[in-house]
Amino acid sequence: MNPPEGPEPGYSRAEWVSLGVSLVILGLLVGVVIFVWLSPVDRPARFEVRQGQTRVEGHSYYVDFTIENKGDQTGERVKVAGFIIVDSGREEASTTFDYVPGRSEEQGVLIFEHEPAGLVIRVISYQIP
Amino acid sequence: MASTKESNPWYSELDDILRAVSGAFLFGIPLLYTMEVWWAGNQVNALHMALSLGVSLFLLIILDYGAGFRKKKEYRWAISIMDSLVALAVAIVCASLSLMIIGVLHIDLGLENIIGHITMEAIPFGIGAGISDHLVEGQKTEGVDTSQQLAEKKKEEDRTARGKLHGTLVDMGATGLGAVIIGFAIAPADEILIIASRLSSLGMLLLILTSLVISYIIVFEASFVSESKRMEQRGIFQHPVVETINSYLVALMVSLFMLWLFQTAGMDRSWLEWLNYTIILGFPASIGGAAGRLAV
Repeated sequence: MNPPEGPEPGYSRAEWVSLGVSLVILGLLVGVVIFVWLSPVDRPARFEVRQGQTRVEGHSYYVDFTIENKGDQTGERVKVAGFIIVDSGREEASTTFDYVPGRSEEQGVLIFEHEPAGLVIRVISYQIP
Repeated sequence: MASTKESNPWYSELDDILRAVSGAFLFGIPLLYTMEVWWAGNQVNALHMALSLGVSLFLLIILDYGAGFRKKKEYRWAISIMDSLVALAVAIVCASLSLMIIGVLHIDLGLENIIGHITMEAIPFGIGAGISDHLVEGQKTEGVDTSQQLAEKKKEEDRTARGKLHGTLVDMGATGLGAVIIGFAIAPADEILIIASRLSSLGMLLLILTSLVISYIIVFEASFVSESKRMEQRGIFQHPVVETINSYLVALMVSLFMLWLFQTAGMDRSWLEWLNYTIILGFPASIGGAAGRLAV
C-alpha cells in the first residue's frame, strides 16, 4: 500500500492557474458592476418603436416591430398599439410586454385584417415596477 | 495508471473543478428553472449586485470551513479564501452558460440586466459548488491493488448475464428515481413552456448536449460518492458514454411521464412541442438521474 498521497501543502501550479483564471472572471464581473454603478441609472423609461417587415398569412397582415427602451428604468406591462385608417373607420391591434428593461430591446408582431398602409405604432402605457 | 493520474496536479485540479461544477448544477438547477430568479435579475441595481456577490463570497468562505469543493488536507484561511474565489468563478461561469443555453440570457437584455441575471443565478450555483465536496464525496485515494481487484470482479460479473441484467435494472431504477426527485418540482411549472417558446432547434440540440455532458461529469468525472463503487456496478450500460446516453433516455421518459401527469401543456399541442418540453425538463431530470445513479 502506498502511504496516503496527501497533496503537498500550499497551492500547486494547477491550483494557481485556476485561481488566476477565476480572478480574471470575477474581475470582469466586478468591473462591469462598478461600471453600471457609476453610470447614471435613474433616467425613466423611454420607448422607441421601429416597424419591421410585413408578411401576409392567410387573410391577415403580420407586422414585425422592435421596441427599444432608451431609458434606464424598466417598464412593466408595456402596451404597444398600432392603428390604420380603413374605409370602415379605424383598425387597431395591440400587444403587451411583461418587461422591457432599460437599455434593451424586445420584439413583437401586430396583426391586421387590412393592408397596413400608413401604420402608426406607439407605446400607449406602461407600469413603473 | 490510476496512481499517475492522481499524483498529476493538473488532473487533480481538473477533478476538483469538475466536482465544483457538479455540485453547482445539482444545487442550482431548480433555481435555474425559476422565473422569479430571472425577474430578480431585471430589477436589481448595482449596489444590490455588489452586495450579493460579496455575500456569496462570504458564504462560500464559511461553507469552505466545513465542506468546500476540494478534497481537503488541512484548513487554512488564506487557502480557503482563494478556493472560495475559484468556487464563485465556477458558479458564475456555470450560471451564465446555462442561462444562455435555456435562452433566458441574450444580448438584447442590455449590460445591466445581463449582469443582474448572472449575479442572481450565481448565488444558488455558488452554494452548490461550495458544498460539492459533501455532495460529491470522492473515494479516489485507494491504491492500485483495489482497482485491479475491481477490474477482475468486473470481468467476473460481466460473464454472468444475470449480474449484468441486475446491474442495469438497479442503474435504471436509480436514474428514474433521481430524475423524479429533481424533476417533480419543476414539471408542473410554466417555466418549461416559456423556455420552449424561446429556444430554436439549435438551442434544443445544445440543451441535449449539455444534459449529456453535465450528467457525464457528475457520474464519471467528479468521483462522486464512490466512483469505485460505480465501476463495480456493471450493467448492460457498459461503457460510460453508452451509460450516460441510456440514462438520459430514461430521464427523458420520466420527464415525459411527469409532464403528462401534471398536464403541463394541453394534449392538443403538437408532438413536436411535447418533444421540446420533454427535452427541457430532461435537463434537470438527467442531472437528478446522474445524482440518483451515484446513490446506489
